[in-house]
Amino acid sequence: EQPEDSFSESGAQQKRASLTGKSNLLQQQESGLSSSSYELSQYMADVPEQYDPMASAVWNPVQTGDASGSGLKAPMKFYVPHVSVSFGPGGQLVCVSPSSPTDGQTALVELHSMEVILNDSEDQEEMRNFSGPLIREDIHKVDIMTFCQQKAAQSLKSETPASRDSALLWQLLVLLCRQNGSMAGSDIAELLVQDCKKLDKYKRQPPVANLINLTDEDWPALSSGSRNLLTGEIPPSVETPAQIVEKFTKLLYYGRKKEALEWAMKNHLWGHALFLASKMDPRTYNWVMSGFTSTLALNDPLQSLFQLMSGRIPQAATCCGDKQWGDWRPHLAVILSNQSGDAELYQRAIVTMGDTLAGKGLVEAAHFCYLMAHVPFGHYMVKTDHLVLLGSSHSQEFLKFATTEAIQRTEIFEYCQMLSRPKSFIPSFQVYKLLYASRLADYGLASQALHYCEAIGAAVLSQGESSHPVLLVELIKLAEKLKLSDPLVLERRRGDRELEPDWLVQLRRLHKELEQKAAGDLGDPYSACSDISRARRTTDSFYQDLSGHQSYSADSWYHSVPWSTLEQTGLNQPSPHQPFPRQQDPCPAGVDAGHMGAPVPLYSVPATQPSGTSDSSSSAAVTGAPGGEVPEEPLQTHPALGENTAFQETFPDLEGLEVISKPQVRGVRR
Amino acid sequence: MGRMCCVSVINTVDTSHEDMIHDAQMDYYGTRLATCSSDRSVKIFDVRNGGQILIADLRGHEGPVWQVAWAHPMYGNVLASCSYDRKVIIWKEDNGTWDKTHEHSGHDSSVNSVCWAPHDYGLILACGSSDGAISLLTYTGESQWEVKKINNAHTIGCNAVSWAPAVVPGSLIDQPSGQKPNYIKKFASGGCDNLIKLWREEEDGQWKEEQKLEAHSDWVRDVAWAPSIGLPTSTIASCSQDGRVFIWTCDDSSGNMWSPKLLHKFNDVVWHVSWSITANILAVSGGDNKVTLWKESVDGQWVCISDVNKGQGSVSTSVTEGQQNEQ
Repeated sequence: EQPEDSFSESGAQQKRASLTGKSNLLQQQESGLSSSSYELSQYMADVPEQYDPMASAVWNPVQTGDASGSGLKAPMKFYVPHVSVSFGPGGQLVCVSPSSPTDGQTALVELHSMEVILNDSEDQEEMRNFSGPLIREDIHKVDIMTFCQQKAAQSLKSETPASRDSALLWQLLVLLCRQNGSMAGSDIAELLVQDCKKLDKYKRQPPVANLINLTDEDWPALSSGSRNLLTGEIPPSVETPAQIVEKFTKLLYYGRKKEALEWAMKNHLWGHALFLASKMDPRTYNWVMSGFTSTLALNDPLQSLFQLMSGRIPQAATCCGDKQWGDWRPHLAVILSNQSGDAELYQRAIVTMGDTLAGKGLVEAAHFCYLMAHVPFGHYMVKTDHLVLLGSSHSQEFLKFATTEAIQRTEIFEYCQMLSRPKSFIPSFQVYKLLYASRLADYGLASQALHYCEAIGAAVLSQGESSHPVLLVELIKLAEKLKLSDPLVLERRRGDRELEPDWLVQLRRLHKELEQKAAGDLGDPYSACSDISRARRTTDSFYQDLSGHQSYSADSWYHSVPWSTLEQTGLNQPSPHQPFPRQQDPCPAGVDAGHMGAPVPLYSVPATQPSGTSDSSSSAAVTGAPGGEVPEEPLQTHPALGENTAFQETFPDLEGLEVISKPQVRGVRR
Repeated sequence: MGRMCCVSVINTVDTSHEDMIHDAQMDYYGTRLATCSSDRSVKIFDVRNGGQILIADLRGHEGPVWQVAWAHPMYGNVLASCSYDRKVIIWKEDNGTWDKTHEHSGHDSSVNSVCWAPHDYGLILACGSSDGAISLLTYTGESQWEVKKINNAHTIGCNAVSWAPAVVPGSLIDQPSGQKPNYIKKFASGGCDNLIKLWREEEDGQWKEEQKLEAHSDWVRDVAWAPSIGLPTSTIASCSQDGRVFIWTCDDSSGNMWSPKLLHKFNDVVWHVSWSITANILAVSGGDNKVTLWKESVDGQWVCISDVNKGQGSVSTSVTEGQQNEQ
């Protein structure tokens, strides 16, 4: 090989870079480093002949008049048939078949359904078994309760304490669902103790010795039992209750109240002791009370109750979760059933209990407590938040934390809340529904994913300006990709690309509003922005006026916004100088048609666009059925706003904007 | 284990290409399919509802066309293609007809890869070439395209370019702050120097090499930066002549510490890696012409969720080299 020679033979336009590259390759081949020997052979050829494995009878050497055409050749990116693979937005997998048409094979591309491919996978099955999104009108409570009961049963199969708590959480959801979201303390207490089949016997203890001032020697006449050699205890007196009371009374004849109390306490004559002490000074009373409670085991739920009723956070709240402490559930039960008085104290007690349990790794138990205390849901990044996804600890790695099951479980809880308060949702949870939707989409369950987008959209729209900006943007991005996966759209319009569901149009509008507000806050020079927002407000109030007139409350409008598609012929709107409008303007020229040199409004604004290309859309908007501002019931009607007509250089006359009304369809679910 | 065979096929498109097909991409809505071939043509099909209607047969390249890329529909129907003939052509549909709207000839050698930037940044196309350079074409209006060129991005040549998504990692699951996020434009490239490089745009508009990711022992054939809805981890997949596929992840939002994890070592060159639209699944295809699908399990391991012997309609229960993780 005389590579240098072949170089000198080639044309004067030999590129330096290529020369260097060739030397490198040569070096690499010689050193044996590169295994792309095939590519290397390209560089080695002095003459740019075909390389035979290409079977390129069709291909000719590049001879564009470039003098270097006879010189160096770049390697072919692909030199054998290969399977190029990519994904489509609606759960399609695009696979090129590795055929060689020059050998007579057909050049095929196959589109596969991800849903079918992954049909047997556990993940897809887990998602298919859940009938989300849980929007009120749709869902049968029974289905949800059945789902939760199955989950509870599954949890109980592995008989660890953690799984028991997990089952408890599912059972709580069953209860909440059945009761339409109301959390009555006593019902939940019942749930907590239902399968404490063998309620711990909380060992009674003898009164603590130092509460009783007298030593044993002072009671020689009274104790008939001798000291137990093993335990050192003196067995309680074997006198009959009647005798005990008699002795008690006798002491009082002599006015020896303190001794009487000690006698009573020692002999468990608590009623008498407490009655007497309650009439004496507070110190004595507390003394007797302490004496009484000391007969209870430290972890007796009664202790918790008494402590709480005395205005203190029960000790159980800081000790539960320990094996030695025993079951946390009766303690919570006793607190829940007796919530009167200081609500703040009860709240704090329950939260403290939750924190303690969380600290011991008992996540489901902790979350159970947090639900009882109405602790709000927080964010993954904020580690001090108590609760982000129900039953899942957010101190874990993200994937471990955001499991499909945890998201489903939290959604069920949100659903239960919604049963009692129809418009309620968990704001910080919506991002996880988006994550869930993304998983659905990738597993081929595209229409269900789109449905989730709609549900999230309703929540985001009701938040308006206080919505999560990233959520809004990502939701729009996902929804617009999936929008053709709605089975109704496919059925009606056969995949018409211009169709956008009403809620998506509203989301885009919200996004634009927020962007312009941000731009406005920065002192945006375009006064057009304020025109747009003013016009929008006018538009909105106009629609509100008409809202009562037509009963489209259950409808969701799909808006066809024709743009330059194959169906439109003969539209001559030459605009040769602006094929792609700029994107940088915060205020796309919706208002001032002359502003950009080409009429490319983002959407029509009737009040400020009396003439021009957006005319027909605006007129259609006016005559279209109006809807409420923000969904009271989800998905009010809303006229088309020409959202997708933007950024076209030819902006054809909209010959009759179609506004399709359809009944809100929810039934088409797997 | 997933099954990918005749049962899962929902549409078969006979492209009538006269030579090998090198790329097939669905558009943003999944209604159209663009293909490109060694026969120098780019074809566009309407594939709605199981149909295969040829919409356009685009001629203009003078060599095998390696890759096609659809721009975001907000810019209209726009498709980019790159070819061995050293050109990048941008095609656009106007009133139902497709035409060449721009041609970029700034490379000295085969252009191997084109990728559109996230639409949030504007209409920007990255092109990687065998001349080792990467060029960035930005539409500035009135049929004008501004060109920025990164020379010697990869010695010997660049095989693939892929843009980072326009979202700040972790921003979705963080407490919403009132501020608008500040995107830094980034993309990844893979080259014949066995490297993956990450590039970022500086404040002055110049592009600077931010990171060099080294793990492959042979030419990097494809690079794919995973889309993201704002989860905390940034992910890049790369595949190589060396038969390996690596998954690179970065957990901090500044994007500095990337760690590779070997997805699998195949017995042959791996040509393509491609992410599903929200990056839950990775498709891999290589010299054995098998397509495998992978996903990350909760404990951070990558497992194969589908494997098929193409065209045989049977399920292959073992992936090469005992990768099998599925229960």
